Amino acid sequence: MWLYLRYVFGRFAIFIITIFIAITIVFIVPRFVPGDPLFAVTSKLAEMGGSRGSPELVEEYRKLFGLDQPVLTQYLYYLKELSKGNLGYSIANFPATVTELLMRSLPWTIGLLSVATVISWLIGTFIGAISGWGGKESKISKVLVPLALGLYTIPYYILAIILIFLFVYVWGIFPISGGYTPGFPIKFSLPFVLDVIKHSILPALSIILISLGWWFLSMRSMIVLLQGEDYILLAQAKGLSDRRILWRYAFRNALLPQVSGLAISLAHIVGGAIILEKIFAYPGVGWLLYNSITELDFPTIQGGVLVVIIALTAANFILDLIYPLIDPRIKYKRG
Amino acid sequence: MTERKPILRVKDLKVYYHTDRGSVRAVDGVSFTMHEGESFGIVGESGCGKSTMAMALLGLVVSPGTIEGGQIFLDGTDIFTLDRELIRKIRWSQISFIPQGAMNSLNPVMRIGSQIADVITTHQGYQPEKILRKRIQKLLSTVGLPHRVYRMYPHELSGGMKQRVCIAMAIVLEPEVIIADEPTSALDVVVQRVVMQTLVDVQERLGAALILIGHDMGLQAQVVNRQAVMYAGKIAEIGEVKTMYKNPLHPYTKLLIESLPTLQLRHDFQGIPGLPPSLLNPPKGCAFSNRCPYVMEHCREAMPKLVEIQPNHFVACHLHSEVIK
Repeated sequence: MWLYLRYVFGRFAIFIITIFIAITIVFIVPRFVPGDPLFAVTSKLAEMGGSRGSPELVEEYRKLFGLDQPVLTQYLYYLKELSKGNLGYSIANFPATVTELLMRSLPWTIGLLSVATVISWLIGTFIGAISGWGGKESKISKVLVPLALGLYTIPYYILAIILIFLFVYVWGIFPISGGYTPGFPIKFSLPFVLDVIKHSILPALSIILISLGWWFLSMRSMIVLLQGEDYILLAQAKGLSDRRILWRYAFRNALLPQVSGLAISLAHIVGGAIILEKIFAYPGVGWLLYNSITELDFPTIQGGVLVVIIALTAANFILDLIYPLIDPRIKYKRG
Repeated sequence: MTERKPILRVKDLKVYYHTDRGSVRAVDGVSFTMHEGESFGIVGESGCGKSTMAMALLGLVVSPGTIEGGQIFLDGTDIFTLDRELIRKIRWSQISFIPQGAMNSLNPVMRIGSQIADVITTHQGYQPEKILRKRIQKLLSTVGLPHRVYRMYPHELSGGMKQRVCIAMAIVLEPEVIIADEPTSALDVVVQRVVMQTLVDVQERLGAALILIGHDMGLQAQVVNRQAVMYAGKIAEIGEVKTMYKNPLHPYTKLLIESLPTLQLRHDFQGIPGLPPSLLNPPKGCAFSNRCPYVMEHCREAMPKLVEIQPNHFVACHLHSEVIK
C-alpha cells in the first residue's frame, strides 16, 4: 500500500510538471509569432468597414490586455488569471469568454470521443482475444482478420463520407450533421438526449469502425504471441480449461500493451477529431478549434490547445493509476 | 529393487515436427516403463528430444509437432485414445509437471496463491477461499516457503523460490507421476542442491513416480534409481544408475561419464567431439556413428535395436548386439 502511495505521488508530480510546462509553452509560442495582435484585430475591424481607431485607443487596449508590461509580468498575470479559470476573451465571438466557448463545446467532444473510443476498444479487445486464442485456423479469424485489415487502412474521414452517403442520402436514417436538431431546447430531457444520440451515431460509428480494426489486430497478435509463453504452457499442463487460461492467463497479460495503446490513441483521436467534427459540423472542441484557426482567434486557439493538453495529461495520469492494478510489477519499476 | 506396479508405460513413441524442410524426428521410437514411486532420469544433450517427450507425456504436443505413433499408458489407460476433455482431467491430477524455466512459468499478473488455487478448483471443484488458503499455505511450508508467499506475485520471489512454488504446485493434487524438466538448470549450484533435495523429499513423501529430465548426469546420479540416456531422439541405454556408472555399455554413455569431473582423478577433461546429427535427415545407421570412437562399418548401415544385455540393462549398440549373436 505504501509503495502504491509513493507511486501515485510520483505520478502526480509528473502530471503537475507536465501541465506547468504545457501552460508555459502555450504562453510563449504566440509571442514568437511576428506581428502585433492588436494590429491584427484592428485590421480585421477595418476590413469589416469599421474604423481602425486612433493610436490612443490602441494604446488603451494595449494597457487593457496588459501588453505594455514586461513579459515576466505578463506571464505572472497570465498564471494568476489561469488559476481563476480565466482564459480571456474570444476575438471572433467578442463578448463571449474563451472559457464559456470551451465549456459549451467540451461536453460534446468528451461525450462523443470517450464513448466511441471505449466502445471500440472494448469490442476490439475482446473479439481480438477470442480470435487470437482460436488461432489461424478458426473460422472467426478467417473472416475477421481481412475485414479488420481493410477497415484499419481506410482513413476515417473517407469512411465518414461513405457513412453519410449511405445513411443520410440513400437510406435517410440519420441526420446529416450537427450535435442536435437546431431549435431544440437544450436541456436534460429524454427527447433531447435521444436527439443527441441520433446525431452522434454516424460520427461515433466512423471512429468505432476504424479504430476497431486496430484494437482487434493488436490484441489478436498479442494473444497469439503469448501462446508460446511458458506460463501458458504450464497452465495447459495444469489441466485448466481453455476458457480459464484465455481470460486469466493470456488475456490479463495481453491487456497491458492494450491499455497503453488506449492512452496513446486518446491523443491521436483528440487531434484527429478536428476533421471529423468539421465533416459532421459537430459542435465540439474540434469544431471550435477549426473555426478559431480559420478566424485567427488566438485566445480561443490557446485556450483550446490548453484544454486538450490538460485533458490528455489527465487521461495519462488516470491510466498510470490503473496500470498497477493490472500489472503488479509496475509500482516497483516506475515508482 | 522390489518389483512394483508399472505406472507409466511408453511404447515406441514417435513425435515428429513437420517443417517446410521435412520432418524433424524429435522422439523416434522411444519405449520405457516406470514403476510406482520410482525415480527415473532421462539425460541427453540439448535437442535430443527429452523436452518433447515430456510434452508428449502430458498430451501437450502442439502443431507443428504430431504424434506419429506409439502409445503411452498411464495407470493402464492409453492416453492417446482419450478425448481432449479427459486428457485435461488427467493432467495434473495424475501427471504433473515442473517446468524448465520457473522464471517464466508463473503468470506475472496473478498472485501465487491464486495460481495454485486454480489447479484445485479446476480439478476438485469450488472451495471457499479460507480453506484454499490454509491448504495452499500448508503446501508452501512443505517446500520450505513462508506463508506470506501465498499473497505475493512472481516478481517478488527469487529464482529458487519460484522453482519451489512450481514444486509445490506440482504436488498439490498428489499425482502418481511428476515430470520435472531440468527443474534446476536456471539456478546456481548451491540453490540447485537445496531445491533438488526438496523435490526428492516431497516425491518420497508422496510416493509419486518422478521423471527427471536433464543434461547433468552427475546431478541425476544422486537422485534417480534408473536412468535412460537419450541421443538424437532415441534411447541409447537404459539401466539402473549404479550398474550404468560401473559398467556403461553404450560408447556415448561411457564418454558422458568420462566427461564428468571427479575429485580423485585430475586430468584434462575430454568432451565428445562433434555434434549430434540433424534430426531432419537422420543417418541410415546408428545416429552416434559419426562421433563414436568404436565405430564399425556395420554401424553406418544398420540402426541398432535396444536389447536387454543384462537384467534391466538395455543398450542400443552394435558392439553389444554382436556379443549376443
